[in-house]
Amino acid sequence: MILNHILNNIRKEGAIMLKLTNLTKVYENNNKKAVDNINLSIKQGEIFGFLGPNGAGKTTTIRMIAGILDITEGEISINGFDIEKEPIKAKSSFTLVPDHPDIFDSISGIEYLNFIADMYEVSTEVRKEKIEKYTKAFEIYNDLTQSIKSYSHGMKQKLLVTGALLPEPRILILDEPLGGLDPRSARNLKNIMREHCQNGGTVFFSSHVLEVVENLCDRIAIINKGKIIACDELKNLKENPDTTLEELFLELTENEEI
Amino acid sequence: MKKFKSLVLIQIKDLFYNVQGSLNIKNKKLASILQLFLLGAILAPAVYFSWVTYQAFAQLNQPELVITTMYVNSSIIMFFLGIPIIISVFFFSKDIQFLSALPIEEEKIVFGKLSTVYVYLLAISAAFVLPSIVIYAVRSGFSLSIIFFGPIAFLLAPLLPLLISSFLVLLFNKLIRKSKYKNILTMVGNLVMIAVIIIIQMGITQQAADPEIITNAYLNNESLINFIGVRFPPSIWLTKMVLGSLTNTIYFIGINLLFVLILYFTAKYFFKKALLTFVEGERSRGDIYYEKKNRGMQLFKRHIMIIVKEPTFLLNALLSMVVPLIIYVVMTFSGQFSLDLLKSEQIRPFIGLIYSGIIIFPAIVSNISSTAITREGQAFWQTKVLPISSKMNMQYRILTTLVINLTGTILLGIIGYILLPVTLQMVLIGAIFAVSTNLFLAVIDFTINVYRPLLNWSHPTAAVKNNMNVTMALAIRLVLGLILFGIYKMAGAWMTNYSLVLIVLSIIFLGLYFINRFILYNKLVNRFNKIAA
Repeated sequence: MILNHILNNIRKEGAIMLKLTNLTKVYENNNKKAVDNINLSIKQGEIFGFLGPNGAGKTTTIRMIAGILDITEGEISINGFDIEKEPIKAKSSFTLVPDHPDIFDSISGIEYLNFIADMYEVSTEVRKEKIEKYTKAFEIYNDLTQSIKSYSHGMKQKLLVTGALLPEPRILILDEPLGGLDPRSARNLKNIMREHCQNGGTVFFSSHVLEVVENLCDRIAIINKGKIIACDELKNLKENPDTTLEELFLELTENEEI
Repeated sequence: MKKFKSLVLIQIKDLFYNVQGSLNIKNKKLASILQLFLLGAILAPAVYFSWVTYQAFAQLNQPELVITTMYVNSSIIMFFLGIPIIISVFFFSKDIQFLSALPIEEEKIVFGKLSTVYVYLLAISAAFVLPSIVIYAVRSGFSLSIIFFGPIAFLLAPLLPLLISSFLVLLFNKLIRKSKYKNILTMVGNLVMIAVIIIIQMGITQQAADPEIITNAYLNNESLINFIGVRFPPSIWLTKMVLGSLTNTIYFIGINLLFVLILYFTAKYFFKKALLTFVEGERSRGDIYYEKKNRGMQLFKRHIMIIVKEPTFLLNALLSMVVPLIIYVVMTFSGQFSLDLLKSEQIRPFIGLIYSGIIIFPAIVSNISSTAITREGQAFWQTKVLPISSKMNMQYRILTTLVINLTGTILLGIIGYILLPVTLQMVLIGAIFAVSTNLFLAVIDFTINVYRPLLNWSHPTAAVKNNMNVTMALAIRLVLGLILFGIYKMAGAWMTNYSLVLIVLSIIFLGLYFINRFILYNKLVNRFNKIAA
């Protein structure tokens, strides 16, 4: 109870960990506005769900936040640092789990994790504790000496999540993190996301699994055709308390198409 | 047959789209013009070579030998270039498991994959065999046999090198498929295979170069074709086929058919025992460890590992490091070169220059900086999200090139010091020249890659070989060479002091390196940051 109260206070009054201001992305090759003037603020301690149909602009937004894609217009502030002006400080504040586990895969799992730990300057003791904790939870500990090439899609995803958790990031950004995970690992990841927020961290993730978003998120935003069409706590978005997130999602995205 | 046709078509389409994509030019018209220009640039010297060869044989009243010679030469080139491509499409392309799940026979998959290699080799045939046939036909008259068998010879020319190389590669990989070090063995084994093929060719030539055989060959017209064709007997049959000999047509088509059948009947076995087993999961590599390293060291290790763990990249890097050594070994083995030549009085004044030329070879041949970003492919995002500066991200990519190339330089420097009569002063000047050349070229090549990153490649060959960046890097060296040659021609007497020339060049290259470095780390950072797959 006390913990929840503290957390709620952190969320209400906490620092803005991620702020998107008038964010726009136009791809040069087709002049299409993939992301159109979006504004979002995510507070410390929040689990924030980012929803939208395929091609709505979720991954583009996440890639801009992570500094992978260039921003056409607008600003992104992570833990108070502008991703374009102070990229290293901004990048030190978050870790990313992308939707496709495309990593350099000729090395072994443990080599990859040591690489990530060194990049975020994680001490030997902490990395040992975290690697053992998460890889055992995800049941990939015994595969760590194998080449990543031999991993399944789900195993690569688990390795990426483990790597992202090693530096205890202020913000954990995950793009479709549950794709490819078995039910036990999906449950573990959900627990880890909750635990991360309880420890003062923030989670920003996109997903198609509406049931997970509904049960896990403090707030959600729905993006469609590059624009944010809804952003609030789920209970505030529902006109009728019995409406499910699926019904709400379909209604909102359908209305947009009309 | 329909399935096979579809498979071949999709593979070839994929190849062409990849080649077009690797040009990385948005303007399609410009891309087409550039492709034609490149084709012309490659074809022109080959056509000229055919023409010169034709004239030489015409003086001996045997102009048709131009076809024999060009087929032999193109076959050697096809072996040399074909083996790495075969390895890449068979063992390191991403679609082999996908294809194996399709309802199509294994032998058809093998031949379908080979169709893309055939297209590559056909381009070599178009550069060597086709011009020789056309030149012969134009000068000696278009007979019915040339009109009919000429195109057949051109189209069949790549088949034997392709089939023999494929059989050898599959056989070798079948033997090593379960080894812990199969990737390294694939690369080293096939490198040895290329060397062995060339050594055998050279050995046969050397044997045939007996003065008595040569005299007989000149006296007897029939012996001359045998003398040239002994390195590769099908070349005799191909030449005589073009001239209209039915018996030789049967021989040539027969030998091609025989190898097609051999590969066809063994393809199913190799597909299961070599291909699928090779791409299966690997064994465990040591223990779990928790070891802290410096960030720069980790980045450097990552870039080195990208090269070392990918056989196509490693083969590319190693070849560029030790090509002079391979040439030396092959030429010494075949008796075409002896170190005594370098001890002659006429050569002695140039020894320092020769030594410097040898040790800068890795910098000249290697262009691995021009693919330092491209090599990472879809995994490039990973270093972009790390809390490191863009400058640091770029620096360690360049450092990787420098370490690889300078290792080659040191290796060649030591061997050169042992084998050549060089003084310590020559070694020192050579070392300064090699370092400055390496620095300058590594940075300028990397700049090319910053301007032209290509991250969406499907197999590693596309990343480091069939790549416009590599062509541009080599073009820079060509232009540089032409400028230096021009200066040499104009400068006159002072150019005879080679030590002075090398020092002046070192200063110029160092100056250019610092200018380029400044531009890269200050003006091009934004461009680097914008790179995305």
